[in-house]
Amino acid sequence: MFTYYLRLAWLSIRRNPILTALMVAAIGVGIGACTTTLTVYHLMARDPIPQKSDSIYRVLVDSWDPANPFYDGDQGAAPPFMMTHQDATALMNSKIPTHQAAMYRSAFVVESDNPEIAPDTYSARATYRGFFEMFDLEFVYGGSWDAAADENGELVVVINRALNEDLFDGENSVGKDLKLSGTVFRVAGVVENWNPIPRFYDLNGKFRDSAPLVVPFRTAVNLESDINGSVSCWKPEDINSFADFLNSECVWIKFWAQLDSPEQLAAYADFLDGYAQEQKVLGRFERPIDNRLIDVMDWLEFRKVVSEDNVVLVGLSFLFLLVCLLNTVGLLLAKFIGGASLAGIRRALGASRGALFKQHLVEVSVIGLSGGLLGLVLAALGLKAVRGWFEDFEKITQLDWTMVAIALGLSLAASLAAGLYPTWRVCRIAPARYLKTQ
Amino acid sequence: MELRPILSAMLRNRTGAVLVALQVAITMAVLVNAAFIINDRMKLLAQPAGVDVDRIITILIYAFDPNYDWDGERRQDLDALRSLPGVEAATTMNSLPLSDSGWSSGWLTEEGNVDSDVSSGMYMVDEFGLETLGMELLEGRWFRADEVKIIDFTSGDDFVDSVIVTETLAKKMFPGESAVGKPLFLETGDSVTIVGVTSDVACPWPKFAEDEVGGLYNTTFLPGRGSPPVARYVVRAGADEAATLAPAIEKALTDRGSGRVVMNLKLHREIVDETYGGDIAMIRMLVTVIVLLLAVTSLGVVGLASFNVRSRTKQIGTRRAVGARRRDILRYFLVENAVMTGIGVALGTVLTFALNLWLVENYDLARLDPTWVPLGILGLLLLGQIATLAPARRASLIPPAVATRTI
Repeated sequence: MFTYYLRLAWLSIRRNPILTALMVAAIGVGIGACTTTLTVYHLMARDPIPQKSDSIYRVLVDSWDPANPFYDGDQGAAPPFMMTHQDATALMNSKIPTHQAAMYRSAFVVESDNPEIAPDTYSARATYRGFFEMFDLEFVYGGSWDAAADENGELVVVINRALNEDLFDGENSVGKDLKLSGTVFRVAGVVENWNPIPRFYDLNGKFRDSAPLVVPFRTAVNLESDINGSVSCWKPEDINSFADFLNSECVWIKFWAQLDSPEQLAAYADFLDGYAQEQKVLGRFERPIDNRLIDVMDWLEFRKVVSEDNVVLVGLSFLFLLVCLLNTVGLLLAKFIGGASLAGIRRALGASRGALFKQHLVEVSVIGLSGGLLGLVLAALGLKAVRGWFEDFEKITQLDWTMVAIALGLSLAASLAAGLYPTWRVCRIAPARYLKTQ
Repeated sequence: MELRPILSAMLRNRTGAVLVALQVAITMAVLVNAAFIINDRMKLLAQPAGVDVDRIITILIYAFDPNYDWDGERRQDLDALRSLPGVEAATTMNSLPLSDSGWSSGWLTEEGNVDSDVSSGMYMVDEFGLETLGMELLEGRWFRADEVKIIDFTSGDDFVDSVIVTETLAKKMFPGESAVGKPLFLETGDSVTIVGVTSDVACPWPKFAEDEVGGLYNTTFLPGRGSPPVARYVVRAGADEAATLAPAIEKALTDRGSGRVVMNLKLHREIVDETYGGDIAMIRMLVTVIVLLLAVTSLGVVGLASFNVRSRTKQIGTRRAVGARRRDILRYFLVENAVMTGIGVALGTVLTFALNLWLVENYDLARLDPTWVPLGILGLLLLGQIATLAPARRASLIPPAVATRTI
């Protein structure tokens, strides 16, 4: 029966090609617009590290100005998003978290032994070995540096697969030398390229790639490697050297900890509380104690990674889809009422209302899915255009299978909703009226 | 005017009219709000940088050789740049207006009084800054070569002695009097003297200026240069020469010297466009939505009118036969559309404000300027009339004979 309905639908579509094309076009542009905006939303709002996002926490402590909170926006007052060097170093001594890592972004000039490769700058993450295990980085060769390297600031580096391809032709480079800004490092490991979107652990460039170089935090600090991220200071302090800077109240370090159980979480919260009390005794932390442990998804929400503009666009594109559907209802009505005489004959020959209902809905679904397919093509074009408009969008304008399924499902649901009333109208027609005029 | 028959015909076949009215209403709500947001963003984009954005080119030097001669290389680089044909001036700077990245700090206008703190964006420039950037010196003087010092965030003790502020900042700090010669203080106790006032130059953050420094044009110039490893050169090109000059600049620096990487060659205009990238994309997307929306809505109007014309062919023929003129038929359809669109825009006015309320409450968007609503109403009424014109004309061409052709 279904194939028979499909055949009837095909015949009906052929009878009215222009009207049908208009309907497919209307549903197509509506679905195209929604899929474009939803794809951007879907990629902005996605969980960058689903297996662990609820056990990894951003750690904040309030070392800020007693006179003013660090942040006082629409989400209330909040402690600094970053940490001072002295706090980050002190917190790294805790044994409570499963893994933990303080980090900042720097950059080095890589000089290759190969004369054909010109020296070039690469961004670097200065962090602790916990970074690799906490964020589940996969090693292609070698492994992370050892605890002593963290402690002593040894000259070791982990590079990613892409850089290893460029510098060492993809061969096992573990143990080889790599000159970074004039200093010779030893390659400890090569990790698989890892570019979470959004780059949750450092939102300064939230849709950018991870750094291809990873070096021990202490090493980068010892080399006074420059800080490619924000530095915020509140206290008037005489800073005459990098050492002064490290001891200052300026915040610039991002701190993450993995806490797997509620007990661990509670113990770590107690530890932070104790630390803050201690600092108060030392005359620091003059604000009320406000330590925060914020898991990955909450952190992304707090930092508004999904831009408001995008949510507004999703809303407007759905209103646009609604207009397209109202349009389709009108066109379907015209089409169905136009073909009412045929429906009348089928009724008179014994087709039940239910059969007629099903037949028309099959036709509507065919139109809807065609619209959906057109919409996908338009969305692909739309996303391509959007990618060219804003470099930040490069990573978040890729159609994936989820979006394809959503687009087709949406077009089917939308066309069925649009087709319900016209179908109901045509089924209610008394057959006699149409038989008479022939 | 024959409004009664039109209304009664519409009442008998409500669905079509309701569909058109609803489409018009939603279209209007989206259209007016989207246009309003676009206008808001255009205003943001239109804020002048205060410098000759279209003539400025910038490039970075990243020194990595431990024996790199920081000062000497810089001097030679700038000389090489100045000797390029088409280059009018060249300087070093830490960041550029509207580049979204830079340094801000506060000055105290009264010594030791933290309540007199005034924040501003900080640009480090040398003696060639004024001619390179192209703002105007309104009062006092520009920096001399001997005032320029190396500043980095560890240079606390050897800070600069003189600064230059923008007109806006000068007025904010010293309302009603000249700022030139006035001292400014740091919380650490150091002080500097204002030696000049320039026309307004924007700070680096157009979107956070209010929060960050209390206003887009709160800007201070310091006679300073950065420390290794990164130097930014800023070059001023002759009118319309920036784009063609850029490759020569990169080549001149790459050819000179080693131990460094030459990178990030950009026109200032490109940098500003990147800063506003999200807003430019938003504007383009909203324009696309508006265009598609108007197209779909007009198609809907055309579709319904055509359907009506077709199903009323006999009726129209009869009216023609009993004496209605062509223009009466034309007018019938135009008035019919005006009534439907009228109901639509009435509903649309409510929807427009409702949508705006939702946007204002949930997102950081401005409240709608009500004068935009009549514009929307007028636009949609016009759109409806234009869309109806073709089917209505077709209707008016139906010959009276149609009435008698079939039973």
